[in-house]
Amino acid sequence: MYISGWGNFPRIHSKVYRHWSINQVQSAISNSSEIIPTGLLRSYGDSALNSATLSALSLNKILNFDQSNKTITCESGVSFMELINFLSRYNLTLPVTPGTKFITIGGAIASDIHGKNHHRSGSFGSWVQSIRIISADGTIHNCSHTEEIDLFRATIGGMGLTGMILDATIRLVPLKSTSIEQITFRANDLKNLFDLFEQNKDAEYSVSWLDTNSTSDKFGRGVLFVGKEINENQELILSEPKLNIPFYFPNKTLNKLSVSLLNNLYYRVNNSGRKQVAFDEFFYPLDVLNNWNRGYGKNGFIQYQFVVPKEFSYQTITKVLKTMHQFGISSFLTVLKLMGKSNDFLLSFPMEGYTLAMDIPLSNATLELAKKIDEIIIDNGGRLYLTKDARMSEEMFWKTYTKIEDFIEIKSKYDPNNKFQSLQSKRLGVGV
Amino acid sequence: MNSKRCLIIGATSDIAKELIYIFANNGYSLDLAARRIDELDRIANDLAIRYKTEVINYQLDIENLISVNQFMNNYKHIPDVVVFAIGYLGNQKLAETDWEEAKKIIDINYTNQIPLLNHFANLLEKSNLGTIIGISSIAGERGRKANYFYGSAKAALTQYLSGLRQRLFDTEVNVLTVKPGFIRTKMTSHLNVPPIFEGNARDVAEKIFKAYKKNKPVLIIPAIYKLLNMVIKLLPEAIYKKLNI
Repeated sequence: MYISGWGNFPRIHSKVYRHWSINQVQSAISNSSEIIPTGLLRSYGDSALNSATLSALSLNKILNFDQSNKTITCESGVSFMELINFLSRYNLTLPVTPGTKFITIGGAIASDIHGKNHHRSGSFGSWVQSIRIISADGTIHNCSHTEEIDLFRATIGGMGLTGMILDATIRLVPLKSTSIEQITFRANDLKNLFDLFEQNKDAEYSVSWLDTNSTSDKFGRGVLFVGKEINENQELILSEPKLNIPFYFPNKTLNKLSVSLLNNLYYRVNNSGRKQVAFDEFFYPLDVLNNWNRGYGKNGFIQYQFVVPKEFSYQTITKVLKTMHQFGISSFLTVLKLMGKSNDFLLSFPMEGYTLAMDIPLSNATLELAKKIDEIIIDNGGRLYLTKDARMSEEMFWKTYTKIEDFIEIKSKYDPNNKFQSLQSKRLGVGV
Repeated sequence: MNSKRCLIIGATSDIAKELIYIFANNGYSLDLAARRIDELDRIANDLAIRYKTEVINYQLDIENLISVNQFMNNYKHIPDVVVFAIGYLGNQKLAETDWEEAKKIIDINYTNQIPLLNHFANLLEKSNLGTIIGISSIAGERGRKANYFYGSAKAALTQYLSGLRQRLFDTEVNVLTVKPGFIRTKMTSHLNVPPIFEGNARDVAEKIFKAYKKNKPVLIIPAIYKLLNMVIKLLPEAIYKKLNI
């Protein structure tokens, strides 16, 4: 069947294997010359695409729940929405969540996802206690901080390239509140936005939106959202999307003019102040709209997300925005966040510094712009998020992911014939 | 008060698996019958963690009448709801020349379900309470060259359920016939159908549960098949026979 990532680019034909029994998973692996595990296909680019894919969606069972030790063991295809709903009955929750609840545990591990609390809680991988994974020859490995440590370090953030995750044990945290007190700060320029992040670095959650269109004295203006847990516990039921985009919008719907208007409007409607918002609304504002990616049209879009070390962040983001102005290209769903420290996982994305994510409709100009921004990111010691990437060059990847050689050494041990490959890994030259 | 009890026969079909979770979420205890007991055990463990559901698993190979009889002897409860979620599409082309395949399609979709349907109809009639849900198919409405073995067996099942509903009209036992159109499941994973004619197992299961709660007699789903079915049934045979559908 035809599959694509969330950016609808690229779109390819794939033989999809979907099994729950270990025997069948093993035979799907052995029958394929190359294969990549998939879940809910919320990664944007080509990291979960190949001619054969191994879906985790039938691996959808919770295997064990230990309330007193605050751990849960579940199969890799269980979604965040299911888990968060289930755990809330015991006043527990997942320690880290990204901007959508429609992702799987397996995907969260493979992407080593981060959330609005990265500066305090780190990425998802640091909360994984152990993983059971099937490697290329069909062997089941139990890896953790104490067993098969090399495989553990390569699998978290490893984009599915070390094998098929069967299940994992995750450490949980208390669910302090089902509502979040959201404090909104409007920043009239980029400098102001950075200062606000610094002033709020002890806040539990923080994220900001940035206006990529604004110029002169409003250059880099934005809105910072800070979240604080308030001790109010009601029943938490995360909901399915309430609205649906049933078809693709015309490719030019989000053009320079409409995005500029939207950006202006968004800045104006978000006044400084504080209000109480529901868990769903604070963490997953876009999940309300099913298939929102169709708003970008059939051609699809790219999400360009980079992180750069803190000391170079301001100059980098200034340069990036100026480059976008030169190209006359802007982004609406633009997210800026101050991240905390990096971890030991070999292909993990986060590092201490600012990360900027932009959604841009796909065109030749967009791809040219992306190449220009790549240079700025490389020069400033940053890197791109593999989960969003659909077009990075092999050269850039090898320059910016500094632990790639260690990763490849471990991959060659568990996957000597390079069976686990994606279109992305081939493009980036992650061979053995 | 004891929770209500739901028996699902053919519990590992994709629609059944969705139904199981809806019944569990609504506080029912579950009796699950299917050929693959390992798959049932996996589901039962998950249900116990998620909903603290009491689950009893039964092995039942619907192809084998000995197994069907054994199951009826082993099963000692009077369920509030019995769901027949059994379907085997089979290989139409093969069945045209191979009686084994033709018989298998007929047995699974109709003949071998009858002892079970009779048994539970009598049981519920005696207790004068409960619901029988039979998952038949829109394919049973008019024969098509693409699947007339499957379609004719489902047609028989639909007629059986219709008759049973009439028989039990004076009782508190309800009979719900479900006629799904094309649903994307493992049974149909090799077929290509335009998306507007395609349903998914989750939606079907939710609609079945709602129809059961409202004591509805017949459910056609996805809704577009109601119209399609009407049109197809109205076509004169002289025209219908020429159609390539």
